[in-house]
Amino acid sequence: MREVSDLESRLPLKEHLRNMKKICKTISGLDRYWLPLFAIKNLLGVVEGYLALILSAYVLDNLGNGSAISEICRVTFCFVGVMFLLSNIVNWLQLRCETKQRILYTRYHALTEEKMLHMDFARINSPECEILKKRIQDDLNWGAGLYTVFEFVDRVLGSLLNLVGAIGVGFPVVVLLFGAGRPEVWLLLIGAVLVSGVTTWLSTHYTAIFHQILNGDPAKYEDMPPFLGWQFANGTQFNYQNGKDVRIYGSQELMRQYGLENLELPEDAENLRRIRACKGKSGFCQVISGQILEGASYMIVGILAIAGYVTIGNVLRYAGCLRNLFHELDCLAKDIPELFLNIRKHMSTMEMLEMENEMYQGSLPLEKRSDGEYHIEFRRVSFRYPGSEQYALKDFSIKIKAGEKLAIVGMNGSGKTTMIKLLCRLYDPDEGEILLNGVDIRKIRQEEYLKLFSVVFQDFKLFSLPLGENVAVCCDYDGERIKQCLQAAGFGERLAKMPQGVETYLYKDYEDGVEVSGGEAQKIAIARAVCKDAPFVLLDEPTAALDPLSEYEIYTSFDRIVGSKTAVYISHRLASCRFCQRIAVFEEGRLVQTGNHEELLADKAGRYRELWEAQAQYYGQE
Amino acid sequence: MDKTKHSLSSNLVFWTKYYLRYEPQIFWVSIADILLSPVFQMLALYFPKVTLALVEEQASLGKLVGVVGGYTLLYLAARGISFGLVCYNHTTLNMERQKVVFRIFLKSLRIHYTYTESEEGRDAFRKAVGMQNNGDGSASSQFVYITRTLLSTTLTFVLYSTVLGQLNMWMVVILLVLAALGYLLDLSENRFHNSIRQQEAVDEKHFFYMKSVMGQVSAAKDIRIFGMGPWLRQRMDQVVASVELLGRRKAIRIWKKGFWSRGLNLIRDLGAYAYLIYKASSGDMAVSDFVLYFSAITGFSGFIRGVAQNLAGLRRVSDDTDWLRVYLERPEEDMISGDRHISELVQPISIEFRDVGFSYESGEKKTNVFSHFNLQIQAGEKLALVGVNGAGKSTLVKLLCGFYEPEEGKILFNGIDAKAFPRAERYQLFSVVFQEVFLPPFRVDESIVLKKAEEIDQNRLREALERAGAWQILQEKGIRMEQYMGKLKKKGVELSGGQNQRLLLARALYQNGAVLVLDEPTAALDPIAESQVYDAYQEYSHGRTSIFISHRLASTGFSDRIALLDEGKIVEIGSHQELMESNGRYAEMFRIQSSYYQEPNAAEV
Repeated sequence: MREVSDLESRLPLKEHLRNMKKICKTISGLDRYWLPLFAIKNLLGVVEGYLALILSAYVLDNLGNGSAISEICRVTFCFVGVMFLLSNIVNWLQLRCETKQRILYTRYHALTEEKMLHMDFARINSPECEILKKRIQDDLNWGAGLYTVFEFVDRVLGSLLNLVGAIGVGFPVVVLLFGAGRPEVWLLLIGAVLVSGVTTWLSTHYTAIFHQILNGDPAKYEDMPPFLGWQFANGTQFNYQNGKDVRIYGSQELMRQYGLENLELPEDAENLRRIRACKGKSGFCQVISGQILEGASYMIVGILAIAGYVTIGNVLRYAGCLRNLFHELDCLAKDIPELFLNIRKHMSTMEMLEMENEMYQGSLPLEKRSDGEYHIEFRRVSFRYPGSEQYALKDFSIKIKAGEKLAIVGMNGSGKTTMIKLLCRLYDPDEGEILLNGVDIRKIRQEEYLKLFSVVFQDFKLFSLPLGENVAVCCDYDGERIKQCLQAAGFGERLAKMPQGVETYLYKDYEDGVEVSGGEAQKIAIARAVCKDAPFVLLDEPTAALDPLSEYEIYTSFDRIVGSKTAVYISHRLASCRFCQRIAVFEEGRLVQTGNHEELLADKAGRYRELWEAQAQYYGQE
Repeated sequence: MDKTKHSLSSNLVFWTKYYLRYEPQIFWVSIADILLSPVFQMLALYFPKVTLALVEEQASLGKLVGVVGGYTLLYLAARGISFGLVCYNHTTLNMERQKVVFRIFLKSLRIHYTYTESEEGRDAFRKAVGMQNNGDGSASSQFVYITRTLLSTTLTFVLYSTVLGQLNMWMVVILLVLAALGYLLDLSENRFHNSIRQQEAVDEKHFFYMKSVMGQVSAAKDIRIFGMGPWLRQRMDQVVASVELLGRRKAIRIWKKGFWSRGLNLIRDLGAYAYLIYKASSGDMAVSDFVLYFSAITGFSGFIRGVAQNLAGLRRVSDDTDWLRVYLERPEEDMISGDRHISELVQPISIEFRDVGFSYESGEKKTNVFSHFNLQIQAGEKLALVGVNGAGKSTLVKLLCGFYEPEEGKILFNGIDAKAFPRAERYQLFSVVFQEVFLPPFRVDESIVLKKAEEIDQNRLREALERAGAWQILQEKGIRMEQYMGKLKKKGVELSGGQNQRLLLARALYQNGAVLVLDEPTAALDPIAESQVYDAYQEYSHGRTSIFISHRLASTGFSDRIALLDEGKIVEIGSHQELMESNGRYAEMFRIQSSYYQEPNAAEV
């Protein structure tokens, strides 16, 4: 059961048309010819259908009045031949449409993600963006992707053209309806339309109830035990490794409750019964509303034929046209709202695509310095994460000199990573400013500014793409250089074991690649930072996943990796700080101590000493 | 990966039993639909003929309205009820489709852990779930749809044959031949579809992967700092290009195949017109019959092909079903047999690995982890297991708990072979804090204890929480046991990494197993929290056999003995003191780590 969305509310026609224009513009931006192609395909398809009707009328009438067989056959064969040609063309266009749809589907559904590549970081992480993404996901759920829009566009186009065809080919019977002066015809027509109308209403009524039950009451949902079958089976709330806990703690029955039985709570069982009944009744009414007009068409044309207005051959033709006329009107009445609804489901996507970046992108060119003499100053910086009450950094000032090695320590949540994020301009400070060689970093061109930093985040990401691409961050790279970077990061030995060297795919998500351990992944991430060769190196807990020997390896090669660059180093392992000239101790978003290891340790009441002793106690017994 | 191939009939029996057990209603509804479909098909066939016949005989208005109206009503009833039933069934089928997935998942918790963890088992799981993740194309739904259409189409086919048989028996034969040719074309088209399906699946996988990567919030930092946009976009363009190429190839192939199939229809239509025109003009046939037979001829081949296609479809479903049965029919772990009982064991218990051999199997490849491995843990001893990543520490714990079975040798508890105990009891022997944090979004108490709320002793839970230092946290945050864990609910409970660790410790304390095992529980914690976890552990493990795994050597200080594991062998074992004195690898590792923590003057050396 999903949460309610605003898709049920009424919208004026103008709004719908605007939505339609919007999505058509977006799709046409990807491929200009999709709509004309759809139209031509439908047009020819309609022509083919009506040719068949005209042919049958011709054959039947001429058989009745005893025309020459050879003449009938000649005309018939011509018709059949033309229809054969048309069907080949229509089929070709149809296949082209399908290919186009598939490509458009692929490109369209990547647009939001492409957008996210260059959206403000603050925005991508904000609750609003999460909500919008959730909305997009909900809106596009249940098979409401672009294919559904295509399907309804195709159907509406087909119906419209068919309607024109029905009126054109069946024009005489439309005239007769008015001109023949047969009240019983009108009686039939009105009766059938009434029944059709009532059953259509019933059908939509049942569908509405169905949706009502399906959407449920979100307030009630909050307190109901969750049902997690999907999340379990698809690995979002359960990992096969959690099977160990389930077995040790004997939780199979508990898992059964949340993974299956909660789906069958009494209330849900009752809802299911009602949903089934609604769908059944709605289906029944839907068939009746459409088919009753078909029966009426035959009756009406039959009456007109017996009265001598219509030849026997034309009975099928006119009945066919009349049926199509009703049928297509009926279809349009159902499909146009569906089309509007489905287009409306894409408005959340449009909203995402139209989102403007708010962060000032900067205009000053970066001062290019071959000597790497960049220094940084945080001046009374305060920052809160969007949507949070608490300051992550408060009135924070620090200077980082060019070539300096700075270590940052502190408890979880003391603002260490936040500082790195502000430095990389992932966020802008709420108060205060950050200066690069005395210039506010907000004024510097973002693109160029970011080139200054190589960062290994705590939660760095590697992708299931070739190793070399992961390090070089592009498709075309210099293999030799990548090898050097990997070696510098301590990955050399493992690289030798990779089946295709730097071209080996990582993990199994994209190709059937090679699994690397957490420690190995960390080394690759370090290699990526090395490869970027930026003047600032920022390392956020780079050894957390490493065993003591690998950790040692990284520590000792740290100088080699960083060289004369400016480096900022965050770690829980205070040991790593000793490699740094200066250590900054953070607490609750403030800088509480700075100095080198010895100075800080000397302050017996200081936070650093406390942290240090918590770890050192285990090593002091030698 | 092996997949037991079942025969078509065996799979038909499988699904029949499945639905009889869980949703017998499906049968009655389907049978009604199977019988109704041919009825409305025949009514539709005769409808134009009846109308034309009435026009031909210049029937009265009353008769026309009566007969055509009657036909219409019958048709509406048959078709309406049939479609209503299909819709009715659809909900049930969709529900059942999902339940199959859930049953597969629940099954994965009851079969042997070795299999669920293995590459093969995970692949089998993904495959089985994948078979059911196709909406209406899923195996469980398709089985019902296809058998239903197959039966109703066959019935309709028989009825059409009798209609055409009245005209000319040869006609039926010729149409059968044409349909057979058409079917051959279909087959080759199916083969083509199958041949590109794999490529399509690959493209799709690539597409969804690239899409997820680009939209991954957790990757956004790296994407921005390293300017990965162009790279990822180029990769996505490659995927689109591949989709386009395949799409074009497919269109051309399908059109060519379709051309011949349309050619067959052309021959059929020309023949039908010629024959019927000849018949009608020679006065053998009324205009209304002309219409009847012409629609019968054109419709007939559709039904023949329908039968053939549904048979092929049934084979496909049968194939998909095999994947499900790999999982659903796998024997469950035997939880109860065993002639000894844990309650007999005097606590604290001793553990012995005697001559244990074990290797991982993945496909053909066999990686040996342990051979002739021996280790004795005394009753009440605190053992620290250290070693580099991949030394075999976690494997050892899995063998101990019974997730893996030793290939050779045995594991003994108080000198009794572990195999002698019922599995359920053996699992309960342990309180384990695993590396992966598992706090599912259940009720808070259920999430901690991993048992149903009604089975939880709240006093015991409170005590466990207090000892783990978690009770106070819950109190401070005003968290009640009736709330739910995690983000799924608006009022869901979310805690930090260190706080979660305490809940896991409380879980282990609540279980009160005779043996305590902690598998790297402090990797994500800051120094203070880490130290607190060590303290809590030390207090609890008093007088209890316990095993602590870590690659931080800090934990070794309060252990009675330390075992250094390397490539499946214990290379050093003894107390911290002994190992430091023997000056081996442990001493070296310890010195490296502790060198960072020595007082300044000591570190200068």
